[in-house]
Amino acid sequence: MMVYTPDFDAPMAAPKRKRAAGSAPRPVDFAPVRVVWRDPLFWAGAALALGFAAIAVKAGAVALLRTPLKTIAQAPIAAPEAPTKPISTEIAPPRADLVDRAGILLASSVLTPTLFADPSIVVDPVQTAQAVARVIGDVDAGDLAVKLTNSGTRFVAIKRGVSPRETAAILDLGLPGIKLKKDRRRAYAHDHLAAQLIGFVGDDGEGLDGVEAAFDARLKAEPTLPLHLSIDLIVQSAVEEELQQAMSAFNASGGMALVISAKTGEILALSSLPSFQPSAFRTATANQLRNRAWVEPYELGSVMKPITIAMGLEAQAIAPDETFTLNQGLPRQNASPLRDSRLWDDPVSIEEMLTFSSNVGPAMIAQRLGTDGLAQGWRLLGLNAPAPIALSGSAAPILPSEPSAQTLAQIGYGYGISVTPLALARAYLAFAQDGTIPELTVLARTPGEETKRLRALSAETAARMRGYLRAVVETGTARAADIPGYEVLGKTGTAEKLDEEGGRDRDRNVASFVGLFPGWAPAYVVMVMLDEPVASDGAPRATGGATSAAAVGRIITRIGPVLGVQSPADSAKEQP
Amino acid sequence: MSRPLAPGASASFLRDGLTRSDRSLIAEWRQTIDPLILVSALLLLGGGVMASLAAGPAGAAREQLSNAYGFTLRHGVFALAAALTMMTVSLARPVDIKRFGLALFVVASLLTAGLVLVGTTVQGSARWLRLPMGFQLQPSELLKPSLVIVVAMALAAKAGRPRFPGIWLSLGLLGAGAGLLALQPDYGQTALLAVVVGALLMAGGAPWRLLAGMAGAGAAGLVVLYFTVEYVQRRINAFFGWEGAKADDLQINRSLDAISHGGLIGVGPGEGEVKYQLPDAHSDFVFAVIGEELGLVGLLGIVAVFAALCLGGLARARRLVDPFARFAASGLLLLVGVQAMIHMLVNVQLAPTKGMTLPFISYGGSSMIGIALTLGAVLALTRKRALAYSPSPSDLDRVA
Repeated sequence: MMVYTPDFDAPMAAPKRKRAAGSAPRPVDFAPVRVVWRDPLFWAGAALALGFAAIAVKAGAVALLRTPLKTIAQAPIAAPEAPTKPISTEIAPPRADLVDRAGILLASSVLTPTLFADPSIVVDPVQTAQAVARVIGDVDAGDLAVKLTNSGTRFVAIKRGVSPRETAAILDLGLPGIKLKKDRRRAYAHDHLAAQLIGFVGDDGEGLDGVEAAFDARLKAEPTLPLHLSIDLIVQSAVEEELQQAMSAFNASGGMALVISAKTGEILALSSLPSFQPSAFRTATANQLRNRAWVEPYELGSVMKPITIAMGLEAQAIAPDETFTLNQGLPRQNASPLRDSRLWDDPVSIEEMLTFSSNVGPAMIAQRLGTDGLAQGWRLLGLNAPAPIALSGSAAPILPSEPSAQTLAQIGYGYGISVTPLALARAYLAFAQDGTIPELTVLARTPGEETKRLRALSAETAARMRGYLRAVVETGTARAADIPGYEVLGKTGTAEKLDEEGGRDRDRNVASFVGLFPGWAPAYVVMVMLDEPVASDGAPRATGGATSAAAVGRIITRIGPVLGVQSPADSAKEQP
Repeated sequence: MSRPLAPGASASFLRDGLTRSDRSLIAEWRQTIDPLILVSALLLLGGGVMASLAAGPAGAAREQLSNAYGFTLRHGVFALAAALTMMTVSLARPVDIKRFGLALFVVASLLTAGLVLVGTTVQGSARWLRLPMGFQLQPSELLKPSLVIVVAMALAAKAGRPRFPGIWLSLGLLGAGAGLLALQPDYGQTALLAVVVGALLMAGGAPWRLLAGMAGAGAAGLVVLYFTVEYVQRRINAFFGWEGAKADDLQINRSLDAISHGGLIGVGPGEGEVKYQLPDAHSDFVFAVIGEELGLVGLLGIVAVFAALCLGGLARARRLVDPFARFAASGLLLLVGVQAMIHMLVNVQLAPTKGMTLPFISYGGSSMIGIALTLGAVLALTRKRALAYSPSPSDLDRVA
């Protein structure tokens, strides 16, 4: 049999297989199969057609009926060994506003586009960077070109919060790999006010610090319901302004001021300076980010003396009417006796020793209390633990573990023990009313909500302490805080910092004042602390009395009317 | 031009330039080439270059290439080379196809066998032959079409001489070729070759029992693979939703995510996002990438072009009178069609994950040159020559 090989050059001719039905010769078996359904190749083609049809149907079903992904990032992450991170098209989740106790806006989320580059798609990094820099003002072309060239990621943020004009300009450029994504940014209505307390939010919408971090879940869960903070915006701005002024006046390196309601434990104002803008926390310096209120413990000095005395009274280590002879000082091992800088008119009452800030007296009381007595007192006043506050970072006090007699004496007047200012202010809350300490909160309490209170002192001790503290302001070291009409109570402290040899450096102080007002029924604790204030001309030392007490006085002058503090006598006069 | 000149047709156009009287190579080619197959193949090549603009950067990102358009650029070069190769091969006579096919079969078999012994291992398989200038050759891409041609020769020989053991020879060839591919191991290509040669055997008159035996052997082989090869088991488990295999499950879901993200008209060229999460976006999952960027419209376009190429081509090829041309053209078209079908079935999750490129559209020089040779041979074999085709019923009507 011949194998048919077409001749390429053969002339065209009509098919020869024209034949009448019936007389047809049996087709040669290599000829194409005429009846299509007998041809296996037809069935092969049919199977292929079926496959293609199935693909078309399934593709249609997937493309049109399958629930499209809302955002790709919601889908489970690709295979774990995947070397590239997918671009998230997700925008930061909606987030509830933060408002102050009166409902004034503090922080809110706004929708703004973010301009970014996907370096894996950018064709020419240098040209692209230059083109972007031409239309977006604050972009450095060289810097961006480097990032586009060397970045291993698929996301290089160029600018967050691009304006509509910039958006249009970028879109006009039509650069491959330069993209915009919708984003949410947190805007803070009052700049740096209460920055440490409010905290800040990362680019992904994750609360990173302060209230933003502590209540992150709540802010995301109920984005339409504003979160009422305990902050009072007017009080806060007065406090922050006065603290800033005091810092400038005394050239202090830092400062802290706060106002707490003694009735409810609400923190009405809290400021740590220098501070930062929460919206630009990335550019803030480490010093600006420092939180002097509850993250850093300080040796606060004399402001601890009322604590020692209250603990002594409470433990009955001293009697209320007891007198002390202070002039001979307190004997110390391997050292001259501890003496006060002033000459006393012995014997001295507790009130006098506090008014003129004796070191010897509280040192004697601390030694009488002993380690166990002090530990007991600290426990009651909450000075053995971090200040209980919902925000993260509240620091534990630094307490000596097994104090010698000499250390015990120091602790009596506030050395050798470091606590955060917030923890100390909280302890002072015990003096304000009946000896109980309200639960601290950064959220506004709802009207009628009962405040949990812990008993720290007896009501009797609290009342006695109020008497002593009033004397300090009236006649003692804190006269600068004696604002007429408020009968301010309080105690100053000027703690010398340790120098490099472990001695005390007279020129580097922590000057503080913890005050309570109004004197007839203290409702607020106000504290100011200045870090390393420098004496102004004429004054011998930048003491707590000269610096912080004066600042507290000015704060009370400003916030007293705002808080509606009126003496009962004045109120009675107004009644017809 | 689309149909053999029937007797009595007007001779007037014979006088025109570039007509049948023109015997220059180009004119001859233009007159006799099958436009459907040619246009479909060129559409696929062009579509592949367009798709590589989308899939290339995604693949480059995944393989951490320094140049995002590295794949795209090379794809363009390969596409050009493929077009030239296809055109050149389409000029050949059937006898050239036989000679070249046989020679290629010998070379590709030796290379594949050599690779199995001393191969460059990529992703656990010895598939690549390192060439100078950084090129790599995958001889299996050349083995597939050449084996189909040699099988067609064997079956054609049997058609001419019924005593010729064409069936057994074909089976032996299939066993050798498939065995080499399975040793690499590349079970997908093995199965592809078995399916195509199986169809050819049927067309060549093999008894049904033999085909049933082949199918049974294939099924048994699959069961053995399931229980012996870990990734095969994982992928099949993932496909049927049986327990096991998270990563592969995700691959396949990503391809559906991409297609559903694309919707009807796609998210637009370059706008795809899911594509970055697809493994081998530029090769094994290019269909899903097209689905994301060009939508269902793009996908149906691709399916339509493949259907036109393979079904239209088959309809012509099965009418070829010469048994070799018929078997070879049909087999080669099936090779392309089945490979495309497997790729698309995997991408729309109608089949378990199997890395298979989409002919002419996926990235891959060897694959593209292999397909160019395949379709070039199909074009050469389906050219209109005297007595090349048995007349279609309509031709008979006209003559009657």
